[in-house]
Amino acid sequence: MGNQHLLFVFRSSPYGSSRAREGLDALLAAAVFDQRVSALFMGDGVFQLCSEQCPIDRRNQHKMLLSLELYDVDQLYFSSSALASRDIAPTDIRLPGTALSDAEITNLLTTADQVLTF
Amino acid sequence: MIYSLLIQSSPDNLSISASALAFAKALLQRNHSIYRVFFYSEGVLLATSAAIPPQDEPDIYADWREFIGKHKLDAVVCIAAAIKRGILNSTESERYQKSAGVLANAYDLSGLGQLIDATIHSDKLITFG
Repeated sequence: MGNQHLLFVFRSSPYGSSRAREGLDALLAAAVFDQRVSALFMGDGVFQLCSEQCPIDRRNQHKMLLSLELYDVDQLYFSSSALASRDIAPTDIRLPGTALSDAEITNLLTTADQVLTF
Repeated sequence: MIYSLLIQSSPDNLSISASALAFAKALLQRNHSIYRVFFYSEGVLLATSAAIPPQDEPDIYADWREFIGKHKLDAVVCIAAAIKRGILNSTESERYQKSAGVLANAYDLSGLGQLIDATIHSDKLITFG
């Protein structure tokens, strides 16, 4: 299988639907299949990055994201404007990643081989 | 160009399921090819053969089945997403001792590897929902 750059875009809040969890499952599958994988969090998806999550009867999405380091995931990106409009300070994010402007996000989307949105 | 589609929205969200179908039809009309349609998340619900839509609504389940059958498309339903929502084929219904398999004949149950495989073998993957 070719080693292509797959960009997973997370736009859903962590617990309003199963989308965030299922998207992460798909990302992990891609990592297992030896693809170059990055993740971009934008829109309500940035709520997945908040470290203080106390889900009831669900797995903690933030803790699952912390485990991505084990999977050789290339890079995590966060939308600066999504963080700002939801009053989340970039310093509150404990995950290693890069905050991007909207213009930088446009550039990222065009450079990926495939984009999968969750 | 070679396309694959990722369908994630519930058939209850009729506008998305119908848009995805219209897009798929348009691709073939313009001589593009479809490598695979992958059903994931709530999109797996489209693959049931047991849904009875109200008479005054379009039967999006039948529309998708007919389209897949007519063009012999590779329509793969994520097995993990499907079985947790009760979309079982006869093999899975026996394995888990449930009364019936409801997966329509047009679809196959398989793993997420089929989605990653589709990204490799397609020029473009389009997500719906």
